[in-house]
Order: sequence, then C-alpha cells, then structure tokens
Amino acid sequence: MQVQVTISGGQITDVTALQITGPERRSVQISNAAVPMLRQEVLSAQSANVSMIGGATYTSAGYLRSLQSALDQAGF
Amino acid sequence: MRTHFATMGTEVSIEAEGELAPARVAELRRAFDRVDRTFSLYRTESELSRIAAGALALTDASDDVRSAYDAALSWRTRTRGAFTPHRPDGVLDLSGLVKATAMAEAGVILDRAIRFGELDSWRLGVGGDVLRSAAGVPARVGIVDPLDLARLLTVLQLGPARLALATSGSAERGDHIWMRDRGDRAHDAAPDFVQVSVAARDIVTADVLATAIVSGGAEALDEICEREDVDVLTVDRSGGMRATPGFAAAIEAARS
Repeated sequence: MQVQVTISGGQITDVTALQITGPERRSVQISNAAVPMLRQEVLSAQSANVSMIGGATYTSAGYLRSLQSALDQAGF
Repeated sequence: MRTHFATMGTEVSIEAEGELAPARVAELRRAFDRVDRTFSLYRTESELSRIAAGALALTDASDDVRSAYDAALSWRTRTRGAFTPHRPDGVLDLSGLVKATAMAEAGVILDRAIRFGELDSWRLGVGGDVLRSAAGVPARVGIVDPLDLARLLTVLQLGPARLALATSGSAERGDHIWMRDRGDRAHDAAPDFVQVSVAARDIVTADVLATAIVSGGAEALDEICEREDVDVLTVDRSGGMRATPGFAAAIEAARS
C-alpha cells in the first residue's frame, strides 16, 4: 500500500490510498468503482447541443440513419 | 467547419474551429485508407485477410501489422485476457485496435493543422468513437441509447484529462465482440452489458478497455476501473446503468 500525501502551506491537507499496478506501474486511486445510477441521473435533454455522438460501432449503412449523420447534415 | 467522409467501412466526422485545407483533408483520408487496406477483413486482398487465409505468415507481414499485433498482445495481458486479437475461430482480427490507432494518427494530423494556424481546435468522430484536441474548450458529446438508437442516452463533457470517448456494444455489430471464457458459464452466454462507454486521455486506451469490459463483463469492469485511469458508463440488458464517479461528474458538467 502506498499513500499520496498532499501538503499545502506546510500542513498535510489530504491523504489518498494508491496502488501500483499495470505494465507501466502507474499509480491510480483505487476508489473508482462503477456504481448503479438512476436513469434520470444519466438522461440528458434530447435537445442538448452536442458536437459529436458516441455509440457502439456502426456500419456505413447504420451511419446513414444515425444521430451523427443528422449532425453532419446540419453542418455549417 | 464540419466535414465527413466514408472509410474503413464506417464514417469519419470532423468538426473544427477554423478551415481545414483540402490537402489536409486528403492527408486524413490517406491515413484512414491505409489502415483500411492493410487491416480490414472485409477486403479480401488486405494483409490481415491473407494472414487469415494462410497465404501470408505473420512473420512475413509488414511492420505496421506486426507492431499492431504486438500492441494487441500487450493489451491482452493488461486486460487479463478480456481484450484479445484472436477470434474464437482462430482468425487474427486487429480491427479492435487499428481504428483507434488510425484516430490517434488523424489526431496528430489535425494537431499539425493547429500548429500551422488552420484550426484552433477540433473534434473527430469515427464510427461512434470520439477524440478531441487538447486545445480548446471541453467538448459536449452525446451517447446513443443502445435500447433506442434514435435517442441520446446521455451527454457528457470531455475535459482536458479525458480527450477520448469510446463505446462498444452489441447494438449494431453483435459479432464485433466475443465473450471471454470465464469457465463458469457457457462461451456464448449473454453479455453482462449491451453497451460500455469509456472516457480516457487517449483513444486507444478508451477503445480497447470499452471492448474488454463488454467482453469480460462485470468482473472486467471492476478490475479495469480499479487499475486504469478511466471513467466508465455501462448499460445492461434491462437498461440499468452503472457509472464511475468521474463519468457521473462528466455528465453533471454537461448539464451546467
């Protein structure tokens, strides 16, 4: 176990547990679990102004009816 | 400006502040087309198709193919086997890695356009994966609802530590990802997640880990969230969702 200590103005202001893993032996914080979310916590207004659309890989045919296509067609 | 073109069996979309010179767009097209010609299994004459057919030995393949294979094996180790370049039928399939690699290359070209004063900032979308320039304001990106492809599931903000967002799932290409054999269930068991989105600093990490979590299920999700510097959003078959604190914060940031 390693800890990351944050010192500010000569005082310890924060202590965070770290673990060293992975091929690069990077330090990452371990409290990164994915926890259940309510749908309304995740859902956004459909009119939201977005610059790109992410989604599972779509083919060219899929693209044509995709939301990204709609964005591109509305291009400026 | 906004432009788009077809390549690699999918579509490339670019949105940018500034004007991309036609020569720069051509340079981008060449980068994607080169990857398409070399790695696509739907092209019978590609190197990967010739390897699959037994007409070309991996040891005789180009540096591009051998280094992609090497990178894929490193990712297989790093994901405890959840990501693998080998299909269950034994065919070497590097498509899970090369699309993201091509996006990273395109990002280098687009950053060059920034250095030459053509652009201030850019967003690149390729087949549902998104990469933004380090320059510029945070990008607002939507994610499609896998249970209703005409709707957005959510909108998040990609800040300076999360330039890339990749999404994997079975929404449109059910055969794209195969399940890791976990011994405790049938090889063709239904996946834990129908869609997984991963935000990371770079697009290769985001794309590989999204694939690995779909393939490896809940167990891979926990392992990867613990070890890797990423934010994750998962959707299961009934529409239930899970998010890491960073992903929830990125959604919240897009609301304000």
